[in-house]
Amino acid sequence: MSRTRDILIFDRVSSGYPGTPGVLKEVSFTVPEGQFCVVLGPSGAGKSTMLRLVVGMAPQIGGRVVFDDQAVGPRSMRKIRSRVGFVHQRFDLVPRLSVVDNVLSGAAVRQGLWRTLLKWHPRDLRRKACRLLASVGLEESQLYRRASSLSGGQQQRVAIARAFILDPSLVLADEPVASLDPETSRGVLSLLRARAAAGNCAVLCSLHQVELVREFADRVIAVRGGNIVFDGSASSLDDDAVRSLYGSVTLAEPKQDRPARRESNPHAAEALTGAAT
Amino acid sequence: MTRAETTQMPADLQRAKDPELWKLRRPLGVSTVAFVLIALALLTFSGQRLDLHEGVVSAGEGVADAVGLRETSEFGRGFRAFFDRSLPPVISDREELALSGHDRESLPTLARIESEPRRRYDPASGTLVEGESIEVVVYPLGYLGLVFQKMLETIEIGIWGTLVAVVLALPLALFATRGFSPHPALYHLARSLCSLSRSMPDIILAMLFVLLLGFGPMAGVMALGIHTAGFLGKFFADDIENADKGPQDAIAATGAGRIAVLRYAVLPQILPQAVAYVQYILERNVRAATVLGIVGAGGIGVELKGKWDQSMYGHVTTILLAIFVTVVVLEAFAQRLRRRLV
Repeated sequence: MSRTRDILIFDRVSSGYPGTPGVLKEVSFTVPEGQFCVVLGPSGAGKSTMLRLVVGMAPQIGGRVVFDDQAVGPRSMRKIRSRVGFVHQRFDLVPRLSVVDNVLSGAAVRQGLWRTLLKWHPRDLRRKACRLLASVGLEESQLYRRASSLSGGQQQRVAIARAFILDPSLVLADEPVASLDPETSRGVLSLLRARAAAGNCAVLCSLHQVELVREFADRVIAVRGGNIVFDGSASSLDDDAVRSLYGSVTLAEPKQDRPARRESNPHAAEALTGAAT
Repeated sequence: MTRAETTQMPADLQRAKDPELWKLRRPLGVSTVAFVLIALALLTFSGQRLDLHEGVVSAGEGVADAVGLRETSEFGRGFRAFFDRSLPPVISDREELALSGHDRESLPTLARIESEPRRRYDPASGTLVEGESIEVVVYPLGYLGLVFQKMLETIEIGIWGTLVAVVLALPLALFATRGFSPHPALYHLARSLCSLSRSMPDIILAMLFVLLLGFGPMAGVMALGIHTAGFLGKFFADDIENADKGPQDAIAATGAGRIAVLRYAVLPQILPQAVAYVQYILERNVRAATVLGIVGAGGIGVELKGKWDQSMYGHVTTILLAIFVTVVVLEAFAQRLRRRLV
């Protein structure tokens, strides 16, 4: 296999917050174009911080983060953010906004003032939003439903469509399936993988379920206490590596997450039955 | 669950204190009881200072009067005097035929001619005395029509006042929101402006604007607009600050600017509540507009003040009923609108 270009480079990057220094300690790794790379580790290991550093939403204390030959910094931030998609653990869709407007909100950076205020997107972009929504398994009838009326799995699919609306070269997914049941998680992850493959887009995805990592990842970076403790292919992640990461294999159960934030949901029953679609 | 977890309690659970010995707080604490007692004592003291107990006494006398336990009472006399003169409500209007400009043969629809004695002020006795008979044109629904017209003007003043308030409140709210304010100094300035405008009573503002702009609805519109802009500005700003940050960060992470974050992530979240605020302010402004006329700021208040000063309580009753009906209708209308929007 020919060596592809690196889309993302972490060069001895450190991060920390006031009161909790050393969230990341001189972390170095690279992600080549189109790779599905999973960041694995226990809660508080620095997975989220690692992802958020790329879009400048976590404090960088030292080192260099380079995205597509551009150093991440205040000046390049807007451009980088528009080329990086982000999928959040709690979906973070706008609850009262329609499904299609949620997807189009990902392209707001490309619109002028008046178009933004009127939510008026060009026709081809709206068409693209439809194609994306279809590719993540949503239907025409759901275009103008409020995002809050969808099930968790469907909301995360909409969030994936939003992340891909500007054809990113990298998608960051921060615990994208932590609030979902295992069956729905598999559906969402395979969609994410398929979408990324279709656009030759690299994915940096944090997870904590070892079995999902083995199923979906090209490569695993395991972090613990702000250090990388394992970096290799998913198949080389054996039980010993997992044990050194979590202390024991059995503790790597899905952590109990708060249920997804949702406004009063008149379609709760439907959402339950439709979760696996 | 592994077998180890079911058979053997973890070490930290074994060390835990016996729940039979856990300290529970009383449901009704000493501090709660003390607070209620102190509040009661303060209210009693304040009531004495304001002579509220005398009001309670005279109201009691009035009730005793009404059920026949007492011959008479101050309360009952005042009550009867008001209702004797204020009922029934006057809905007709009358004017002297000679001054009306109408011809005896071609009167407007429904109008009729009656004769009544001319009333004249007699300086010797200091009372009104009845003189010779004159002919008057009676418009059976004339006064109702006038009240309707004035009420409509009042509602219009309320609507325009609310519009002015919304237009002023939008920039105020943005400046008065941490995170969207361009500068901390502007944040404090906007917050103070909101407080200032709320603290100026609209009736005082109306008097000021009557001086500046002259008598008429414009003074009422400006007074209501400026007074309620402070309320709306504060309500909007608080809602924007309390809006869920998750979606806002998600939009910001796409590289979009503040305007896009406001439009896509904040506005949809605060819109239902904002509509409810505006409806409340609209209802409040219509009610306030009825009073503003008293200082000459247009609307039905001008009419109310005039009739009250002339002791024409039948007309006053008509006006008060019109205000009541308007507020009820407005509330019903607002509720339907709210159900459709939210």
